[in-house]
Amino acid sequence: MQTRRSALAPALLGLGGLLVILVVWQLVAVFAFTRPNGSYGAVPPPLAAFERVAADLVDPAYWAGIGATAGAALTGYLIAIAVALALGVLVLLLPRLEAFATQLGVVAACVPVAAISPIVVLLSPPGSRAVSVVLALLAVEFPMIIGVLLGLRATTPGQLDLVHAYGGGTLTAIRKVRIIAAIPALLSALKIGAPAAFLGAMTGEFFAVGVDSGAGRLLISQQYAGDFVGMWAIAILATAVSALGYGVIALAARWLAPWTAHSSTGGLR
Amino acid sequence: MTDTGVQLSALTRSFTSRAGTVQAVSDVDLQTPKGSFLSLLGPSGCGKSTILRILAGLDTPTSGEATVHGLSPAELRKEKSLGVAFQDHALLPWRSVEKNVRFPFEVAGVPVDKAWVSELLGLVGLESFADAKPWQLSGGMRQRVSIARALALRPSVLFLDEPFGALDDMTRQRLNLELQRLWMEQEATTVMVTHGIQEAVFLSDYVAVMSPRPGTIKEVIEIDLPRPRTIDLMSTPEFHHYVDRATQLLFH
Repeated sequence: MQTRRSALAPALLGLGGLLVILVVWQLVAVFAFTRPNGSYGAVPPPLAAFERVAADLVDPAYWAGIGATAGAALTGYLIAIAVALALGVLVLLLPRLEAFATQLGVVAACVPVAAISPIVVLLSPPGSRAVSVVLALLAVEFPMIIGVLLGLRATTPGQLDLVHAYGGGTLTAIRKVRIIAAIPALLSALKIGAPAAFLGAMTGEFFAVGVDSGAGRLLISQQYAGDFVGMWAIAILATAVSALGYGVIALAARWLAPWTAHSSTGGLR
Repeated sequence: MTDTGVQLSALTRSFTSRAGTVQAVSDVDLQTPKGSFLSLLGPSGCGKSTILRILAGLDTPTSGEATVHGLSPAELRKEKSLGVAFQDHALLPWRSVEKNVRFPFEVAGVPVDKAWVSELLGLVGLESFADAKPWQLSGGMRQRVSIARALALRPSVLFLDEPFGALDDMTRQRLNLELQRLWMEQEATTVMVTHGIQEAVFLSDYVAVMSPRPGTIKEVIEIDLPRPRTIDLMSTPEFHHYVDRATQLLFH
């Protein structure tokens, strides 16, 4: 009984929160943003926005646009992962490089997007999505590096002593313990990174030259046309795609590292 | 001498930091016979864990020598017949109980003795938990897994660092009885680090009482009590005599 209640409570709270947001949204849209002639203003009511989402979903052009953005996001995401993992290997072999790895992550997080994006656009040919890829990469790199470094620290001294006492060397410790112990922290970084990558790729489209499709591009054209309902629909779709990325990795984590929730027995103490 | 168990000769370990040099272990001499149970008893910071870590090859002495059965820690490792258990059970959370017990075989590069692993799980009363994960077990059960793992390679040498230190008194008492039974079956030369006086007297053939900073051995008490020792033994005057002697040494 008690366990059921405790499992149900967060779900109910979440649902309640969503309901409050929708009600406030509706009130704001109707009372603050409806024009005298009755048409919707900058904040349309939720129902109109969701109707538009439904309409967008059957429009292949939207699928293509969101797919293009997601593709650039995925490319940046994968490069960021590859860089973070390569740094992780370096730190494993040469622990003194840890400070350098952290600094690289901090730099990636601190790079001013507004300054770097035009430079990337200048460097890439027209029609290239490079700027989206770069912004996705920059958005993901810092959490990824921190995740990798946290993961490498997740091994307890006792676990390493155990390996060494039984005659195992550094490589055995890495292979049998350190890599596996790092998985929970890695997965949680991947989880945080997925929505960040999509947002970065979308932002990139605001700078890209000669790129006509993508969630960000759709947003820009709708802004010019004053299509507020369309903009809100894109915002909702983008949120859904980001949440999907987060959710898929969260599910994978539950399957790949089921001990994560019980880290008190060794993981992250 | 073929019958030597643990031998420490002028063992010294000092740690140097910016604040200066600290002598964790200072000029320690000690010798026990093969197959005996030795406890290093002392307050925290007396260097008892340092001695154990040196014996297990996890630390190196500044000067002096530590051997077991005439073998240096490095040689001992190559024999692949030692076992270790720490206060931090150091179980790998992604492995089942059985696979945790198999871990020493994998690290030492020895084929897994499956029959012995399942027998061990029976010996520590966990045969029905072979496929359970560490986080599904109680604290006492985790330490039992850790003891089973320590015995995996049928060790002739066993190093225990406060293996039950994090447990409540009752569980600890029960596990000490189990440990004695297992130890008597294995006949391994054993070194245990503890700050529990009763525990040290109950389990040991020799109790080396240590003093802190610099860590030295004040006296080695030989515990001449018959085995198997029982809970009843702990209320006899003989037992109390040894406990009182150790207490006196620790506090004076």
